[in-house]
Amino acid sequence: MLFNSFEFLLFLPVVFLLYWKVFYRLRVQNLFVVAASYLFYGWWNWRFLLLIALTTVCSYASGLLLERFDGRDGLRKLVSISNIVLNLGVLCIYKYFDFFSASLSAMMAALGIGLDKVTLDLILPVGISFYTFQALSYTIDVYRGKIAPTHDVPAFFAYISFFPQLVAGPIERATNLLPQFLGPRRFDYGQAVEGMRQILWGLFKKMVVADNCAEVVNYVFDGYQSIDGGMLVWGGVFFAFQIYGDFSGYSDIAIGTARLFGIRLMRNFNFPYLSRDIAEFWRRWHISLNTWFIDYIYIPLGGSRRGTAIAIRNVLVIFLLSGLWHGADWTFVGWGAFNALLFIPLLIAGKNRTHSSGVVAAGRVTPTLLELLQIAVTFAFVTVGWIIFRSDTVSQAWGYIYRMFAEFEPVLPLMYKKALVSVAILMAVEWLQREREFGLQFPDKGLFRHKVVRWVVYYMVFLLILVWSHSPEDFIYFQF
Amino acid sequence: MRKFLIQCFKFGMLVATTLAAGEYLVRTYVDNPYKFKHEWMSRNAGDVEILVLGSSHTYYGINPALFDSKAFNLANVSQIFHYDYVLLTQYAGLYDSLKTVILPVSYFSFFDPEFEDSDTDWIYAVNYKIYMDVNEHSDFSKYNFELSRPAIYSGKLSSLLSGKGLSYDSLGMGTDYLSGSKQIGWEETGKQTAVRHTSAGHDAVEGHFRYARKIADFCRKRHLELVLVTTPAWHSYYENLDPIQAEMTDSLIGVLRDQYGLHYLDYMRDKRFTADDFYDADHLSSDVGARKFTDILIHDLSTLK
Repeated sequence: MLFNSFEFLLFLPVVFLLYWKVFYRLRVQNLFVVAASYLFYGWWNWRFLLLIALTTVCSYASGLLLERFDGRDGLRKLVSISNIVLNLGVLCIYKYFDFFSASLSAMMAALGIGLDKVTLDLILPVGISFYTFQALSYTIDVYRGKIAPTHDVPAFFAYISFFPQLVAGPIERATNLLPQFLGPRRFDYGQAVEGMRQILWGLFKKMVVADNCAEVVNYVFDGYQSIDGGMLVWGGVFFAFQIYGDFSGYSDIAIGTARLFGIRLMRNFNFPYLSRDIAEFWRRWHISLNTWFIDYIYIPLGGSRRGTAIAIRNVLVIFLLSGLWHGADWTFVGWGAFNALLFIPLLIAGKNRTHSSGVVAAGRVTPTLLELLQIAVTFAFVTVGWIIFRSDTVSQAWGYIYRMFAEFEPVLPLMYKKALVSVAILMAVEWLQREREFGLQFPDKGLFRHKVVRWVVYYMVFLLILVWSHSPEDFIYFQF
Repeated sequence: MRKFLIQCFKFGMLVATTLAAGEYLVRTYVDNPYKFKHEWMSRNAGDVEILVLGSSHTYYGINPALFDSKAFNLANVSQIFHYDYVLLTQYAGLYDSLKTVILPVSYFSFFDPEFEDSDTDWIYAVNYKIYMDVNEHSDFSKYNFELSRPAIYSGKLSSLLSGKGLSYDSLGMGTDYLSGSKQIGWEETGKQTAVRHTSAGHDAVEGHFRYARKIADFCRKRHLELVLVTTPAWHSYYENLDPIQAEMTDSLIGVLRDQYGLHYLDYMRDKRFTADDFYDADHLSSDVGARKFTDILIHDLSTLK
């Protein structure tokens, strides 16, 4: 079920009312969350519910076994590794088997060894990378003693399958989300209103910004071989906003929806295109995945504590894994490697934490020229990375980037007015709201104290969605 | 909770009122070829001598203004035989002068799913229900509301605000496939279109063939000349057609020709049409290509007589 669908428009209020008014006792409420979440996911393909159930049961059982083997490190390690292998095994079979098989076959062929390519041609279950990582977070944290294993089956099933974030995140940590299902929730008017605002803003990002940008992006990437360099630049820029509007829009809707149910999900985006260097960008983009990699891979590998060489290796590892997480293709690996190459110089120079807190131009209305330049350069590098990400093949990415520079002539794509204006609105709002959590989070003072002003803003956003929404595209991150 | 529900209800009412007002505005004030064609045919069907049916291939490809006799283009984008038949018979009581019906048969004509069986094409059926008085569906179904297809609804509201011009001429022909804004990359898109037009199954064939026969029966009964036409295509399109589907199409055309004695004019691989004539790999441009094609068609129709 898509957030921007008619089905969801009916589903959400019905589930909301039943959740608070009928199934309000904790255990029953959690069971209802599971039922609603399975319906939400099964709407797409009910067969893959078995995979979610398998992941959930294995992770739950692992938690109990880790508790039972308390003090027996060997057995605990065995249980933890088995669970990781099983979960990643399922992920690999569905997502990576064909890729590795084809790559191995190609590599052998290059060495003159004939090897038949074996492919499974399986349909990739929606959201498998998200819920697998969420499940892994639980067992690893239990193994590390950061969280006690739960015995509450409905709460644990709700933790893995909670519908707002099941298919495209944020990838939650057991330490944050599970306790919320273990304890009673109270309806909070302020949170619910914030949730509705965040949903509205997410819909604007997805249906107006992302879907209008998609029109230009599809045109440019499909015909890049015969399009001028100036337009190719715009293709990259619009893709940067398409993927941002699409993915952060989904996260906003997910977080906003969760608020309606009294659940606080972690923040996933923090105005990434206002970053002043690539390290800041990666602290503000897809936060739930990047912190997952840092907590469960980068730090266990030694992080940056064991010298520069190890730190560089670790950065390379997490960027390459992040690329692979996004998809089984060399373009994603290339995208990860490209970002690692942008990040490593900052690491070597010890400047990767220069902008680790605060926002650009804090307390001021406009940025300095230097800040503006830093934002523009960071965005330009990020956009080159997105071109690699969006390309079908590495050679297309190379051809696109080469042509973008070689055939460059300045152009303003005025025929794509909706895309241009919606991006301008997005960036203007994000700039003004950069010290808040999302674009429609109003301050308690000034004009926005008045209800009529807030309602005018809601209505304007709704009208923009109504009049300017483009033919719906699938959410990009569903495929990951 | 009560306060929240009341606020949601109030905003919901505001949204619902806006949506209803939008539905009214779109239906009443946004021009579209379906509404125009229905009004035109209701008034002028008695004068029409040549009627062009079919999909975008003829909607953009045949210019009725070039015929010596009074002609009208009743084709619509993605129109299938079912709706060709419904429209042809819709004005049956008005035909006083009709002599010739031109029906395009494309590679996909017998294979595309019926609108109602398709997750994407059902939206076309809405046009016939709302704007052409075709009563194939209930007034309370999704087929009777612009709102049921949000992207089109939004686009129409947007065009109402921006004052977008008409995309069809006074004889029903589509005019927005202009040679000056033609698509690019035909070598690749031709292949892609051929693949998109190739059906995995043949479930729809029987239904489409039944409606093609109904059209032929109607024409025979009314002593109308029915001419089957396949419009020109770019080589990257016709070279990538599935041979089985193409062969089945040929054989179904053969059956119609044998049973009804119909004329069939096949221009798909006609070398007289060059890159200058096409808008994309399977459509002529509505200004250059359509003119050339219509002139050739008029000539060939005259030789049939």
